[in-house]
Formats: sequence, structure tokens, C-alpha cells
Amino acid sequence: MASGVTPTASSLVEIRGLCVDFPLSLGTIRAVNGVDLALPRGAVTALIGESGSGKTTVALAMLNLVANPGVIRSGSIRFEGRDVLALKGEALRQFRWREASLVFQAAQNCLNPIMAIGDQVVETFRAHGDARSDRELLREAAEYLTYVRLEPDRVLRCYPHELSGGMKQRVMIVFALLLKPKLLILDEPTTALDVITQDYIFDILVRIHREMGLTMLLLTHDIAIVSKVADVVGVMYAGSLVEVADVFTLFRHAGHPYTRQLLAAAPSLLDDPEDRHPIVGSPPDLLDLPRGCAFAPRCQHREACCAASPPPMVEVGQGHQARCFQANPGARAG
Amino acid sequence: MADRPTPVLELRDVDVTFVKPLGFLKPPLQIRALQGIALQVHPGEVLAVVGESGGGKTTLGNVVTGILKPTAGQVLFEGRDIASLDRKEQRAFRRQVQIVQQDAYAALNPMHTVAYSLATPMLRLGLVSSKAEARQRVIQTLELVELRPAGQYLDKYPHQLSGGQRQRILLGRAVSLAPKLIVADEPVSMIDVSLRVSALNLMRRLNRELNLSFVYVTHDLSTARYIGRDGRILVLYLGKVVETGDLPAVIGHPRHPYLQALLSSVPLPDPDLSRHRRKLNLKDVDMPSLVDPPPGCRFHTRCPFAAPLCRESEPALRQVGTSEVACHLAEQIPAWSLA
Repeated sequence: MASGVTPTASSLVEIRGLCVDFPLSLGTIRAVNGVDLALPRGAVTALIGESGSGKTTVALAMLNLVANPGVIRSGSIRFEGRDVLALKGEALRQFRWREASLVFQAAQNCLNPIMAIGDQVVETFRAHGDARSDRELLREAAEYLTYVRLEPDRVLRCYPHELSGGMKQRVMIVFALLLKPKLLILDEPTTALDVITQDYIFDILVRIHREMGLTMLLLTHDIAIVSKVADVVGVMYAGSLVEVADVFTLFRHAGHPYTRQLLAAAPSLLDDPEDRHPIVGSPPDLLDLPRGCAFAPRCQHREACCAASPPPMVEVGQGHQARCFQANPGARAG
Repeated sequence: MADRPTPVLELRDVDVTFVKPLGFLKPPLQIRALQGIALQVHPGEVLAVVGESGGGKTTLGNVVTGILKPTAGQVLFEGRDIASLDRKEQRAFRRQVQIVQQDAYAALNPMHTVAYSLATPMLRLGLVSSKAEARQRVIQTLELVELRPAGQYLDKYPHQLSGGQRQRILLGRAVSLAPKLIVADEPVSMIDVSLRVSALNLMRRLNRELNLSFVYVTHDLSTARYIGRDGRILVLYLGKVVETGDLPAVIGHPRHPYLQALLSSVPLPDPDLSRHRRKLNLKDVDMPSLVDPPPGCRFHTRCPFAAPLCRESEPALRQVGTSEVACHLAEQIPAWSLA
């Protein structure tokens, strides 16, 4: 299993020391705080974290899409070796969607309500300089629609309001795939969908991944979804990546107390309900982060050193890192 | 059940039909949102109502709280039909059945402080005689819903609180009116996973300590199982009950193929299991329209076990094992298990 942090020849995207700030009147929020992450080519990487943990901001930064007033303060993002943050104008516009596409949260709202799906397909191709005839473009879209098990003849003629939530979400996945990107970013792709539809959409995504060899980045707060889809998992807390591991290691031998408590907190059909424990305290105030480990105030294992300085990322095992003094006692000296 | 006390809430054969006029000459569109719903909630009991969107969960919640009058059937609160209550009794009923909404941000007035939002209903209903007493009760309520120290929350506005805290305020506002029943409609779906369990634990605590009954409406079987571990469950599909019984038994041994399909779609936090679990392959992922529900069993268009009988006759709810199931083939369908 390729490591999630250490860049290797096989990684499609390499993020180094990424910091994203949001200067607000009350102070500056550091939404992403020194994230190092590599997305292995052809794998599904998941970023998991609560709202406000910075996962969406990381994804937006990958497309150089951090919105005002957010600024990428420092760090580098390389996509197949190219510096994404240096891309300008037309080159940046073509990079987005052609190389890396994004399915937004509540993507249903991303469709134009007064245009038929087919017209939106053609518009998308045209905006990215495709000169083929409408018929050819629609035929290509139809293939993808069949792939996500929608009837192309009907759906291409439909307006968004004529489709159910699950159908619109599948249409959005088709849009994201239209220009054959190398990276597909999915931001909470199934919120607001029913369980059966959610499960079905993930089955489709797993198949797309397997058959097209697409690299995927999935952002979610639902740890159970991660277990089904992801190869590598990064756990985010208060803007920092606190743990990276392959999915099996993460669920069996989580190294960071936050990950362990997250696993013990989520109710599921498997557990003994008497055995669930909430994470005490509340998520940190990003305007007033603790000086040391951001999780320390909620951590059951905190020691004096945790409040003093932020812990470094420690190698716990093969391709497994955790940002915790406890993860490897040897790191405590610093 | 003859020896049990009067249920707090009872629904007898409740139908809700929404009628949409389509124009002068066309017959109006009839949407049968609920059909033949019967249920009982006893004092201190938790009833989880589950199903997908369009199943009728929210309509059921609205009927229970008296917001929506059923087209047919009766809603009984402590044995009395709520349609027959006079104005004064209506007021008492409204106080005793409280709602906790899904979107706590929308349910709290952004212009009012926590203290104001909590004190006003108590003053309005005459539960307290002075503003000073109301403030005292607000402090007690905040402590009851584990917002401590209470003084810190009194003068905050909703936007200054986290999602979990806002949900606690809503729960506090409901509990402060000394209700007998709380209808909670997806109360934790907007709270972060790490805080969900504590919100659910709080509801369980209130349920036990105050002997408060809950109708917990959700699409999330994991949280339903968590909060209703010694309660009951009612599964809705296109406005009808497909399975009901004691929650652990129903979830442990689901008999209706719809419930089996729901359960097999719930993500499991185990990479081995979730990658290799047995799937129930539905014939159609999308729910048919309520406007024109399928004839016979409403689930037959999606059911992998459907037989000719299912297309022709509508199955009635009947006792199968320990639960009640509306399926012709309940005895023949293979037993379902998690893996």
C-alpha cells in the first residue's frame, strides 16, 4: 500500500505544507494548517473529519479554488509534478474539470434548473473546447449515463426538477466524468440522499474506480462510508491531518486518540449500543486554537507535553502516520 | 396488552390524503400519504419511525402532534380523541406533545437569546408566574440538557452556539413544558458524528428519568437502533406500515424485504464486512411515486422475491414470529443477516 504522506513516483497529487487562512474581522482562521498529503495514483483516498476540520478547504486548494477571503498562505500542490498554484487564466480553467473534477456537496443544486440535461452536457464540452457535433457529444454522455444506470434517452431530455435526488446526483457524477479527468473529488457526495440510494451510488463509484482506474478523493464525516470505499484514509482535526493509514489499519489499529474515539462514537448496526462513547467536549474554536495539540482538551490520554507544543507526525507503521506524542514515545523528547 | 395502562398516544386506522386541484375539468390529484396507520406509544416508551423520504414519516409526526388532521381515523391522546377536545383541552394537549425539529438553526429565532426563547413558552402557557421564576426554570432546564454552566448560555444567540448545543436548546425548550410525549424528527442528522451519541444519550436519559415517551422519526437505522434499544419500531413504505414490533427483534430478524434492503444498505464501520457483505438486489433503486402507487403490494416493483400474488393483492399487517409484517411471503423469504 502506497503511503498517504510520503510522495512516491506513484502519487498523482502531492501536497506539501499547505496552509490556508481566512482573515476575518475577529481574527484569522487557519482552516488548513500544514497539511502534507499525497494521493496515490489509482487509489481512493478519503479525508474524514467533522465540519470545520478543513477537508473541503484542502480539496478546494487542490483546484486552486479557495474562495475569497480565503488565501493559500503557504505550501505547494503538485499534480503530476506540475505546480497547480502557479497555473493562471486559461491553463487553470482547463486544469479544472479536464484534469481534476469535483462533485460538490448537495450537487443536485449545481444543475441549471432551466436547461435540459442534454444541453448542459453540450455546454460543458463546448466550454472546454470540444468541436465535435452535438450528436457525438450526446452519444458519449449517453454511454456514461448508461454506466450509472440511467436511461439516457429520457434523462438527456429532462430538466433537473424532473429527476429524483439520487438521479440528479448520478447525473452530476456523469458530468464530473465527461471530460475524462484523472482525479475525481467527491465532497460528501451522498448527503441528503436515502440509504438505499447512497449505497447504490457508492457501488457505482467503486465500479467506476475499478474499471476506469480513476484516482479519487472522498471527503466525508461518515466513518462507515469510508470503510466501504477508501484505500487510504486521512483523518483531519482542526485543520491538521492527524492520522494517515490504509483503511484496514485505520479501523483495526488506529494510532491517534481522536481516530479511536471517533470509531467508538459513531453508532452503527454492528456495535453493542452500551459500548458507544461520545467524544467529550466540543470541537475547537478555530480562532482560539490551543498552543499544543488541538485535540488535547478532549483527549483522554493527554499529558503535560501535549499542551506545550504541537506534536509532530510520527511514523507508526508502514504507510501509517499519526500526529500524537503517544503514538510513539520516542518522539516525545522534542 | 389488556393489562397495560392507557397509551399516551394511539393512532387508529389513520389515513392522510392530500388533494391537489388540477383545474376546472380534471379530477383532483389524490396523494395518499398515510394509509391505515395504527400504533400505540406507552408512557416512557420510545417508538422509532423509520423509512425513506416519501415514506410518510414527517406526515406521521405532524398527525401525532395535531398539526395535521387525519383525513380518516382517530388520534387518541391518553385515551381521548384529539378531534373532540375543547379549546382549553387543546391547549393542554399542545403543551403535552412537543416537537424537536431537525434543523435547530431554523427552529430558533435568530433575533432572540437562549433565555428568551426558553422563557417565552413557559410564560405564555402560565407554567411560571413571573419573569424571575421563568429565568430560574430556564437555568434548571439548561442544566437538565447538560449545558453547564447554564449562566454562560443564557444571553447567547443561536448563531453563537454549535449545532449540538442548538439541538440541546431545542430539546430543553420541549422538555421545559413538562410534556408527556416528544416527537423528534431527525434530531441528530445535522450534528457531527462525534457529538451524535451524546445527544442521543441525553434523549435516553430524559426518557428514563422523566418517563417521557419519544417518537423518534429517522431514516438512520443506526441511530434508531441506538436510541430505541428497548423500544419499538415502525417501518413505513409509501405511506403504509410494512413491519413493526420490538426494535431489537425487528432489526435482528427483519422479515419484510424492504426492511432487509434498508438494513443491507446501511454502511458498516468495518472494511472487511462492508466490502463483502451480502446484498439484496432490488429491482429498482428509486421509490415509485405516491401519486400512483403500484397495485397489490406497494413494494413489489422493487422486491427481488415478488410473486404473482404480490402484484394482485395487497398484504395486510399480520403477526409473524414476534413482529407484525405486511408481506405475503414473510415465511418463505430467507433470513437476513448483517454479513
